[in-house]
Amino acid sequence: MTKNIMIVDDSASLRQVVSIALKGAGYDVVEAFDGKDALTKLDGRKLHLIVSDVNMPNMDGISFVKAAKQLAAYKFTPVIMLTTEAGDAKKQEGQAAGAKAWVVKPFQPAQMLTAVSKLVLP
Amino acid sequence: MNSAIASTLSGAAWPDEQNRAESTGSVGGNPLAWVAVPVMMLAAIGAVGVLIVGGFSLTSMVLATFLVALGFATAFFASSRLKVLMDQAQAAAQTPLKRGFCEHKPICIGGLDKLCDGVLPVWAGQIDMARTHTEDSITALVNRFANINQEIGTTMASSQGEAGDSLIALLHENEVELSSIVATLRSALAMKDSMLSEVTSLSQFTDALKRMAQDVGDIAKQTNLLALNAAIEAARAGDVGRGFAVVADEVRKLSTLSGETGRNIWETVETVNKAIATTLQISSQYAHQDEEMVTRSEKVIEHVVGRVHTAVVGLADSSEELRRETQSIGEEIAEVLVALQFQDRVSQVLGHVSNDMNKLKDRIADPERQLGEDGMPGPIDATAWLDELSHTYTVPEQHVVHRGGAPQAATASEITFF
Repeated sequence: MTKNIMIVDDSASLRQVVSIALKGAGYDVVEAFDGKDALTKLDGRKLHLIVSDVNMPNMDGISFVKAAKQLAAYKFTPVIMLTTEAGDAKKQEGQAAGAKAWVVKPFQPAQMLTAVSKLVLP
Repeated sequence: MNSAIASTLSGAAWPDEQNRAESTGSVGGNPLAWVAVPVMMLAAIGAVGVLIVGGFSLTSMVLATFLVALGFATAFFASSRLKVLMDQAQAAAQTPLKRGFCEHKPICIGGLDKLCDGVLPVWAGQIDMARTHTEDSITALVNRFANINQEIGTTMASSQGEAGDSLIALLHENEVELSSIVATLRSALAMKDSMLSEVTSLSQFTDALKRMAQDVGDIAKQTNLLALNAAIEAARAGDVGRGFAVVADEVRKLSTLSGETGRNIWETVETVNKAIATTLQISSQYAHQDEEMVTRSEKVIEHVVGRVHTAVVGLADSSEELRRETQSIGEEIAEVLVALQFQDRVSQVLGHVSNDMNKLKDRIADPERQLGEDGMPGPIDATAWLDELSHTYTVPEQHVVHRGGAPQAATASEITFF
């Protein structure tokens, strides 16, 4: 069965780059342009992983992850934060919100796929 | 009523004073009111006195009205003069302050506030437009590279897939089958040679048969001679030998018959021998032609097989080369897709600069900042401003540049697992 991954990023080009990497590895991709848009798309669909940016308009990535973890269907969905932020304080915020990994942009598609394959739900 | 009149007067002529009066919450805070209110109060008292003394006659009412009008005019005139004097005094007081304010600045540009108010939104707008255009262009580029990457992947899959491999396998099979045809022809030729050897060996038997036919003829001749002698002896015996003469005659007939049979055998064997010789001669001729034909076929097949082999090797090499090139291009595109992620970083940096420009514009346009308690524009705390700006940074290079360092290219991705 094909696995579904949600990409949340306000940059269309970044979403596209992540999407190429994931689709190339056989994953299905759902895209959202910020935290609010992503929350509306958490409509009960099965997600095996979420890849989210941190700094976004309307709702940032940390707030989105916290909100997503409140939803029963997505409580255990693993989250990878994908951001330009590399500071420890931000990483700790991400970890506290429930993220499982922190990837700093720019990312190598191969490394991203390694992280995805490690965390994606069976 | 008087305070209202004073407020109206002062508010109409000097809005700043009105603001200050409103900010203090009473007329007591406005020095102009100190002059206007008593003058108008005196005029009002005078008008009331005239009405009391003179009653409500027309003359008294005209006089009272005149007194009130005079009061207003006097109050207005006095307030105006006082305002001019206050402004002069305030200007005189502010001159050293302004000089002091500008003294520690290298350049004090007049109209800088208005310039900033006008130009900062323009700069911010230009930056936003550049961000939008860059975002659109980079997204289009990413899409194009994505399509190229996908097409390369499809090509690679097909070159590595069943079609390519099965073609090479088919060519190999053809090579093997064509080689086996040559082997079959060689085998057939060898069998034919073997058969001819067998036929050749038959000629040895025909010689024996001819000798045997000769022997039969010789025996027939001897038997005929013997029968003739027996007939002579029977004739000499007379009647007694008459019966024997009959036997001798039968023997002579048998010998004659045997002699004919012997000749027939010899002739048949000779015919067979000739036929074998002819067959051998023809077979020998055809054997030569067969040999030539097989050799020629072998050469043709070897040539064809050689060409097919070369084609197969070439195809395999081309396929491998294509595979390597495709892989190389795929890796290059992956690097390009990494490099294109700079747009996100640039967009964030430009966004922060744009936001800070708008913030500065708002700060300059802030009415509370126009005049402070001392009547001067409130100073902007540059250190606090820069500190606040640094807290908005999301890209590590921004901190480096903020500290005056040289920006460096972003390093490879870093992954932290929690």
